[in-house]
Amino acid sequence: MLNTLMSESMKFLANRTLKTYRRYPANRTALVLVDVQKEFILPKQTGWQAVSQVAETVNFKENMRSLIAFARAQRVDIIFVPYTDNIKPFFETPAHQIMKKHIQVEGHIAKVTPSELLDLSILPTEKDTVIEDRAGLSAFSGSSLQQKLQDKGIEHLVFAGPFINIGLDSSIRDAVEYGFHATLITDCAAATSDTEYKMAKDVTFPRYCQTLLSNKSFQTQAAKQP
Amino acid sequence: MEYPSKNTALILVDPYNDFMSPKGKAWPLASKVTKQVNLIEHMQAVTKLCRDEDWVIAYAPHHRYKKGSFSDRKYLHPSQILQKMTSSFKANSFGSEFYPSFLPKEGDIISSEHDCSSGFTGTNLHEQLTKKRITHVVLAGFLSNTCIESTARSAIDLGYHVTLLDDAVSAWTPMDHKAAVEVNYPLLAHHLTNTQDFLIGLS
Repeated sequence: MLNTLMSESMKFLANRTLKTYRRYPANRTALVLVDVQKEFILPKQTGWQAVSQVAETVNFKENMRSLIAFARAQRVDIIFVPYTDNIKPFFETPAHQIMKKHIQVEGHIAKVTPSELLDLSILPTEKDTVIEDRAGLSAFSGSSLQQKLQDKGIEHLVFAGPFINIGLDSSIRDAVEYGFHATLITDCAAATSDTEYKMAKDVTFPRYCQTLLSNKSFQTQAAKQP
Repeated sequence: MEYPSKNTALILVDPYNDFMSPKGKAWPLASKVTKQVNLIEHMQAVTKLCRDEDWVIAYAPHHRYKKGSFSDRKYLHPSQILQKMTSSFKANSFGSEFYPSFLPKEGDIISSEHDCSSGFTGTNLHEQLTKKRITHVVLAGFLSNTCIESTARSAIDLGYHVTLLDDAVSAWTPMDHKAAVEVNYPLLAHHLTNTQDFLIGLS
């Protein structure tokens, strides 16, 4: 009990500093979409089916459409970092096996049927930046992402994606280590089970991710910026 | 699980007095889970057996706090904010000394200090392990959901085979520990086990 109270007090005190980071000037902010690709978005794909229960609970797709439309309107860079078949670890973890099971070898630009058109707005278009050289669970692993962000002077990374405790977790840990201000949009994230989602959002992420906001709160916060 | 003994390292993460000694600054926070899992005894047994097996022992120490620490960073990691508030692992103090049961010996790897969570990011740990041709790592120490899990995630992306021991790591709260060892470790570890089974497997 005592240590839980102390732990909560420490979090409360840290949050006073962390709240001052919540500024999202468009030219220094990027929306980083990890594993947001057709295999995990389109309804007929087994990858979507793996996360759909949690995703539907948090209204993932509707929030993603809103978040991406907001970022486009604000002229915030949108960077997609898909899980590709370039990720071939010598020692595979269960996490790699989950991801590998669902991905296909074709590209990640959307080619969808008319019935899937609504989902098109969540997927990368020809105009978007797609990081194809990711080599691990983290979007930064072996990839050009960090260099691209630094070259553009980006400081604030806003993360979303379907696997909160796999790709998002590894990527956000790295982002904070590399000196960025990382924000997770909690209702633009999902997982293969409710327990994984809740444990990540409520217990693990607050220990290292500087900002956790809902899509609505993020847009309210970001719209205040000059 | 069979380990290539010449290519396997035990990595001790942050075995500082501040975490492990009743006089340490972080002891009031870490002691509950540390006692629950019997961490110190487990780490001692694992370290002894790994030394007996002539494995490489590596230390991944946390940043030792000094005046001006993190002044070059615009956005701090939550743990850095707390370290600034509490001066945990203060340089040249009792708190940032290794706990007496885990003093390094000649030939051990002592990595440069990590500033945030991962024992690999911004340190020479990978370089030192690579020089010794290490391919497999076993992690023990603090904290289950921050430095241990971050170090494991980095190790995975760097290509290591990672073993996690669910009772040779500790966290601030039982819920933090549970989130790590019961929810995330099963997805991340190439081999997830406990101290007793690990020791039986090795001996």
